[in-house]
Amino acid sequence: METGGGGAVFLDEQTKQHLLWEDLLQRFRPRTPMGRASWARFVPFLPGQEREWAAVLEEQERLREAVEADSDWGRKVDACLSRMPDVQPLFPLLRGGESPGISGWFRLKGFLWQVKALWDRLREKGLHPLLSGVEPERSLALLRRLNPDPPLTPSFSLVPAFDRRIGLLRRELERVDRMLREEREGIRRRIQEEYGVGPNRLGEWVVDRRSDVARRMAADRHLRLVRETAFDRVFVSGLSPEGEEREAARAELERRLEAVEREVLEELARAFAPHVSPLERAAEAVARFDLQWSRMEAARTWRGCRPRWSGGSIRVEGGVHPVVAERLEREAGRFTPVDIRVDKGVTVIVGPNMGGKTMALRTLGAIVALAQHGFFVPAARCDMPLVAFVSGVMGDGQDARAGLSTFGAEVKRVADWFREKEGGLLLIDEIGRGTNPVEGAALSAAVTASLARSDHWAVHVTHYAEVLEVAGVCRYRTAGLGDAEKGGVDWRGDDGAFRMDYRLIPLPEGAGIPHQALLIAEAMGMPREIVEEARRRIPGHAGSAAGPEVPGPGRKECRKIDDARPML
Amino acid sequence: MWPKDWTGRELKRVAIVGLAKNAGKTTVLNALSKLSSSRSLPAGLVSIGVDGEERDAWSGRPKPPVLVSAGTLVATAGPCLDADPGTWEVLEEIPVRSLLGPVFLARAVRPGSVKLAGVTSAKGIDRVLEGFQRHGARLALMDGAYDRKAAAHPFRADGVVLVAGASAGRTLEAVVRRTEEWVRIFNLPPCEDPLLKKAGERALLEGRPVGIVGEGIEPFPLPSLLVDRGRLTAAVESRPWSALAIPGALTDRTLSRLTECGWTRPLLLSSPTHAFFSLRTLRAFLRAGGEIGYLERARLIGVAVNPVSPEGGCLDPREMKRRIADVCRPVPVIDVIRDGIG
Repeated sequence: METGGGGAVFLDEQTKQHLLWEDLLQRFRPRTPMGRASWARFVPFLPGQEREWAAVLEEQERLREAVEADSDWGRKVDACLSRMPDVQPLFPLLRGGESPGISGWFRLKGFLWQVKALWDRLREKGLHPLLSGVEPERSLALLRRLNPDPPLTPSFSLVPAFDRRIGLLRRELERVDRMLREEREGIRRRIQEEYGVGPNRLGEWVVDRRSDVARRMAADRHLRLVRETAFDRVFVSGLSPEGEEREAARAELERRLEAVEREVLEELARAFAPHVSPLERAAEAVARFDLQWSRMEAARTWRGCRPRWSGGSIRVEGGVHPVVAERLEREAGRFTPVDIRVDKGVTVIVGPNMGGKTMALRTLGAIVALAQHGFFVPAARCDMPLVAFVSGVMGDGQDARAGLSTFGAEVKRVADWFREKEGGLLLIDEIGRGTNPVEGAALSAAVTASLARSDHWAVHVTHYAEVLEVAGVCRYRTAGLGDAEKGGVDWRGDDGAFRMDYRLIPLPEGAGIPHQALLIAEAMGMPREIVEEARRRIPGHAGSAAGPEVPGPGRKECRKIDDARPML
Repeated sequence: MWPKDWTGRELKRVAIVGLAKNAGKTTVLNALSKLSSSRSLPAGLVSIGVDGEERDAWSGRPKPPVLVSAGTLVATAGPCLDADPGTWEVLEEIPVRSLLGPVFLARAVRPGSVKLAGVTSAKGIDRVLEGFQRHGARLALMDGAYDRKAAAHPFRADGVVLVAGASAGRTLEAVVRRTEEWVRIFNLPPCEDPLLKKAGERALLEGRPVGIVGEGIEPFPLPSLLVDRGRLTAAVESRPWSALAIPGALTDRTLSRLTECGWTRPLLLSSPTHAFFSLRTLRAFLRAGGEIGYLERARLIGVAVNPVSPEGGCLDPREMKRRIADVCRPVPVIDVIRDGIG
């Protein structure tokens, strides 16, 4: 669980969904088993950890420079990480003086091999300090301990160089095997010559029980009938007394060889036991480096920039949500980069429906969350403080399990924010829209006013004019359809398609509110007569039908930004 | 006698497929491995799928271990190698999992035996085969699990050995019938028509049936042939199709329905691993004038007979071999136990 300051979850599940967090992390693939395990325990950088955060970003910058200057070197580093075996389960065994199996020793050798290779690669670029925790001399010495017979090879087996008895016993075993094979071959030849049949893979002779051969073989004192079926008789041949002795000697040799092999493995375990702690440190160093490398590689896919610490405001220039941008590219669309400055307090974004307000929230949230997880961010520039958490009320937050409606679920989340002691980034997509417009607008404005005095960095996307009236808020609008609502502006592209400008632009003091809902409704295929009827119903609009059809007093108080009257 | 060319250098990947459970694939695998070793062609051994057979179908004894000579490569889980640490040089851990854990490639440094942990994915088998090649195996032997023909896919195996065991039927008649059915369907001809081959490749690429109309290739109106007779008939009659390439499985029911709909033109399947129809249905289709071929097909290089059933029954080995040879001709038939291989 990622926790922020004061015990808050840094990025709760609902916010993760809104930010498309899992999709974003698809590009982040730790290469090593230890890297993956380490990421599962990772907590984001939080206020107070600015120095550590900056150090992590600095390292990635150096790595990226090295990779971009020498891509072949980058591929080699990547290969070392990708081939790093999982050695964590071996450490408890070795600490207890117990030997892993041969596959375990192979893994340990592979680990030492790749650690050495990785160290050598990093040293080529002067980056070996990034692998602090690895002791290269110790790694090499241990590697040699597992490879007593030069040259160094990546495979592992109990070669005679571990213990000369292995070689002696294996040779003796081969000699006895050869003599036994020769004797059996002699028997096979004799039976072949006498009876015209050969043995099966079990060293048995299977003959038709009705045949003359079967009768003759049954009479052969060197052969023994071991099985009979409805069709066959199965014979085996005994060895000579010398052969029997050799069989016994062979069994004894095998037993002794296995005992020596066990001894060698136990001795290796004893030799490695004192090195377990340094090996664990090396594994931790690899895990840390892997996270850095994988972050750097993920950020290269979105051409990330290094976020810089700033004490006060979050400033993003050219911010992009990589997942959405990729989807748009597939559909021959283009993501409009987000430029925004968010100070402590509240920043309000207004604009027409479908104008990109929510996407701006999502992009900002994703950038801040990525930055605090130590990534370079998908933006041209990013300056920001570390926030205690990122939380959003965006879209349908209905919590069916808790029996809460959209409104109820949102209110509960917002109420929780007011209990937080440290400032977080709050992403609010039209609080209050899930209830009656009068109370919704009032609540929205009241929440905004309260947040404006808080330590949070809140961004509020809204259609309520009351929110804009709150003192001390920063205001943006999405460019939308430009001045189309005033008429005379062509808001359709050459292909007749809807042309929306998604840029965020500061809302000048005293500027009018964009009224583009009806234009959009028309563009989306709403019948013209309905749109016209809607226009007539807007008080103050040319040709509007005032009087009996004007909403009642309560409705009149509801002043949404898309209402016709200017709100500022 | 085994045909001289079956272990010739052109065969690099041989799959051993059982006609039924307890057919005796391990015995055939051991015999082929031994032969490969005796010819100084290092073999690589891998098992496909989950193998629950515990008894040896040949002898009725506990199932025989897979035997290895010095130099033989195996793909198996770590614990299977750890059981005999002195036997193995562990070469590589590959990103493939078996039921017993991650899979390692190892080379035997002395004769021994091993349990082969089954690799369950086609991608995993491909990785194992690539690994065998990297480490110098000249012949890959794939022990296919019962009722799975994945290893016989042409892209993985260039030769297939079918093991016809007594366990496949209650009587010799039943075993012969099943063997004939398997062999006849497996040995349907590879496609020679360039346009139909092109259609077959497109069907695989698009994952839907593709037909030929005149000199052109067009998508069949149905994404799958597993539909009711009415929809199938409408699709068959929608265009003057001259052939149809099917990327997935062709079941007995679908082939029957196609015959009932009056489809008497060529059908192309991607490989025998996609043929799930009976010989009886195939015959009805062929009698009506239809044809079935494969885009790719491994060669059936032999049928190994095993007259012993693990349930205790035993067929007359000579009669079994003779009868099966009759229905499989010209595919060679051997009795590994009585004839040996090589």
